[in-house]
Amino acid sequence: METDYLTLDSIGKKVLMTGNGAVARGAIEAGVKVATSYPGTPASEILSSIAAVAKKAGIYAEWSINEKVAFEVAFAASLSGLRALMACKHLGFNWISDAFLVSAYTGVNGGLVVVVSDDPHPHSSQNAEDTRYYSKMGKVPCLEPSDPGEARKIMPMAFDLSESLQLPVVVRLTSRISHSRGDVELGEMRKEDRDPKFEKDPKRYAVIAPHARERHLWLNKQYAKAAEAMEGFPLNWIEGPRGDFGIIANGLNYSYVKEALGILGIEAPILKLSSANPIPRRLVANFLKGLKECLVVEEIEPITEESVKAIAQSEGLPVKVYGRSTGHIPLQWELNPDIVNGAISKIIGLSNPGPGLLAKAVQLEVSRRTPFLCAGCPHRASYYSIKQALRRINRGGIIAGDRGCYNQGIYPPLNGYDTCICMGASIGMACGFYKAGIKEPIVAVIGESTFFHAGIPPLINAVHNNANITVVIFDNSWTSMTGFQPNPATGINAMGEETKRLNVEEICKACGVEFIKVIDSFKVRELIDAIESAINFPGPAVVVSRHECAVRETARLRRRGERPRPYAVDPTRCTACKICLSQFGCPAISIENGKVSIDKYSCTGCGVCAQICPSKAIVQVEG
Amino acid sequence: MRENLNVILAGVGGQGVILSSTIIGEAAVEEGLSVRIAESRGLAQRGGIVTSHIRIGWGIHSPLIPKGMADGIVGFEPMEFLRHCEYLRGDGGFGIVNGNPILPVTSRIGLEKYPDYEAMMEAIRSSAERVYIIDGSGIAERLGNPNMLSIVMVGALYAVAEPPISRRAMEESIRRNVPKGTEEANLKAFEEGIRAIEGY
Ligand SMILES: Cc1ncc(C[n+]2csc(CCOP(=O)(O)OP(=O)(O)O)c2C)c(N)n1
Repeated sequence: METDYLTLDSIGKKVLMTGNGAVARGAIEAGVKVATSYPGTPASEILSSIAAVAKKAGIYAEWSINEKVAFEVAFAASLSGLRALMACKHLGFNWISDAFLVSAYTGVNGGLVVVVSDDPHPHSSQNAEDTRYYSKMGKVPCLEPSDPGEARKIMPMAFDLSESLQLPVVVRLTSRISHSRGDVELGEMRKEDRDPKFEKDPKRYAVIAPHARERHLWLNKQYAKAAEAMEGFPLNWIEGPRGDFGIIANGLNYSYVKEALGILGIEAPILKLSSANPIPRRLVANFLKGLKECLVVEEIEPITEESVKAIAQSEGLPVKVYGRSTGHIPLQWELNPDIVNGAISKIIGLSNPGPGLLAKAVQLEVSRRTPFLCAGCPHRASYYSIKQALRRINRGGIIAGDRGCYNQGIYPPLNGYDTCICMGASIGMACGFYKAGIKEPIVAVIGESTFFHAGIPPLINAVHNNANITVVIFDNSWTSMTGFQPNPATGINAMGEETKRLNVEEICKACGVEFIKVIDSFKVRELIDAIESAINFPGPAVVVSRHECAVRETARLRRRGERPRPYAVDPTRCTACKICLSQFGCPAISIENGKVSIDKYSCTGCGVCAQICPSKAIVQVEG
Repeated sequence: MRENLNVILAGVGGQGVILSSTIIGEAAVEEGLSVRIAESRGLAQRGGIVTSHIRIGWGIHSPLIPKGMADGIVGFEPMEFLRHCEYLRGDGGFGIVNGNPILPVTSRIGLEKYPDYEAMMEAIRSSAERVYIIDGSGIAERLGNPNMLSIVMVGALYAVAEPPISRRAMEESIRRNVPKGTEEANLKAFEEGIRAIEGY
């Protein structure tokens, strides 16, 4: 299993690893001592892998409260001379940008590597953004591995580069690298025994404006050195025959290009680029010489493409450059070998579509399979209760949503919320709807992990500016959406140690909220009453709907050898009114030929459907 | 035995698609083969679609299989098999399907229609040159644990695809990757998967 390979001292052995696992392995090989993150698909498994072996490997690993704090923790470790890693998804990079962009001014001491995984499609994010822009903005080098094997290899290089330039280094993955697996050759475990030491130097580390002016000068010098270093970066190379038409491929796209050329049965000169920023200008210029046409294949934005055009122009090279900005490759969504094949075929005028069209078309419409809230998920009961409370008050209602498993509540029948932008936006936007003069009840829904991450400042804002809003905190005590990481409400940390458990209600109280109720999510009548009173309360009000995540709770029962006691429909009482389906929609309940039934294997015994059934037709049975 | 193998495993969150691909991938690496696997696990816990593109052998680059180049598709669920058919090669491709549907929630609560079972089986049978529809879930349940479906499907795939991986390497990989204490039961599931094909 992957965790076994993370610390295996066996140079040259090939093992199967994910891109995220390989990054973790590479960081451990490089002697990382402090690793931090806040979870976010597709990057979460980088820290969970390191945390799984942290104690054994003498590493400190933490799930921080949010990405910004995670970065600051890793940054200070680096200033203390240790090698440090911070990992996040692209959206997490937005959070660290404030600290990150200034860290380029102070520079670093121990190697500091920020691993980010972008989600081009996006498969599981609110947007698709290209983190390479941040690396350009910050004048910080950015490396891009082309497969899991290279992800392992690139990490020690990134740490070394960071130390030699004294700059942080970004390693950019995409979801397809993070979550693809390949044979990874294990490298050497370096022994980095350093004592932490912070040497004071306020002109460098205390970046007030006069110091910043000096450091800007320094950064520009370092960035020039970085550009020079990239000319000889060993994971960049030129291959293939000479020709009129060449291809530049960033990171993973190298594999799509090789695949497409193989299918088309042709060869072409390829420049494989694993250094996204700064671009090695001489290497690119050399490659472009003699070419008439060049296709640039990169994920998300035409960043390399624009640089290549600029290089061609300044070198006076008459080459036409194609890519995402010329329409040869679509401007949105993730690439794959078929898209790359299409782009190459179009440029060289091949009509051969490859073997793709040989496949038989299947003439049968398949239905969608949208993800859903699990059977027994407390979030379903919370949404149901909010809707019922709003129905009672009968003045409409706007529900500002947030990021978490509760996003699945958008689908019918719950249609649970009206907005979802980014972490913490529920409460901030609720304030805005109220201040805009919306007269309907305004409810913000937010999970406890998201509340700790980004919900506290907007709650204080609601109190400070007296926004009459209701905040329902969906507290299931885990960061479930991203794979059940612990958070301050869980009572354990990344390395499995017990820590102080924080109660969100106490934080809300300290923020100055004067109406706070804590209710078990499965006591729907009480929950509806509490939400109704909260909405009627003049001023910011909080209801904490608390019940442990169903997946975690049933797993714990099973470990103890127990089983949940499921519910069943009593057919003599059921009137097929379908309220359990049309207003609640638990996946354990289904209807066939007008008969409602409960699947005893998926029912977790939460009993909410029994509470909402008007005919009392749902009863608990022996498991 | 083949030089290389491109297969897609397709199913629903919770069916063990990722475990199956880990078992096959690790066995292949142990045999010294080059491996690429692309997983789309989306919100797997939440009943979404889970797929795994598995590529074993030489001359492979992309972790994603290009359309029309999959040697076979293993459908842990019939509709998910059909959803990925466009990846099958036109000549000599195979399909292995667990014939037991899992209805999406929207179908269960009556919001959306799930394809008609007979029409679906008809489409599946005509999708590839060799198609094996087996009662994978039934086999796993008879062996005492419905979760062993993933290992039954691995067995069936092993029998149909004849990958360049020894049976011993497969069995060791199963031992390494299944929960402790369930090794023997899972090896039996592997064997039953092979038998389901041999007796087809
Ligand atoms: C800036 C940023 N970081 C991380 C994520 C990924 N992410 C989405 S929801 C979520 C947390 C969910 O936890 P919680 O609010 O407790 O809800 P739960 O999933 O447990 O219901 C995370 C980390 C993100 N979308 N944006």
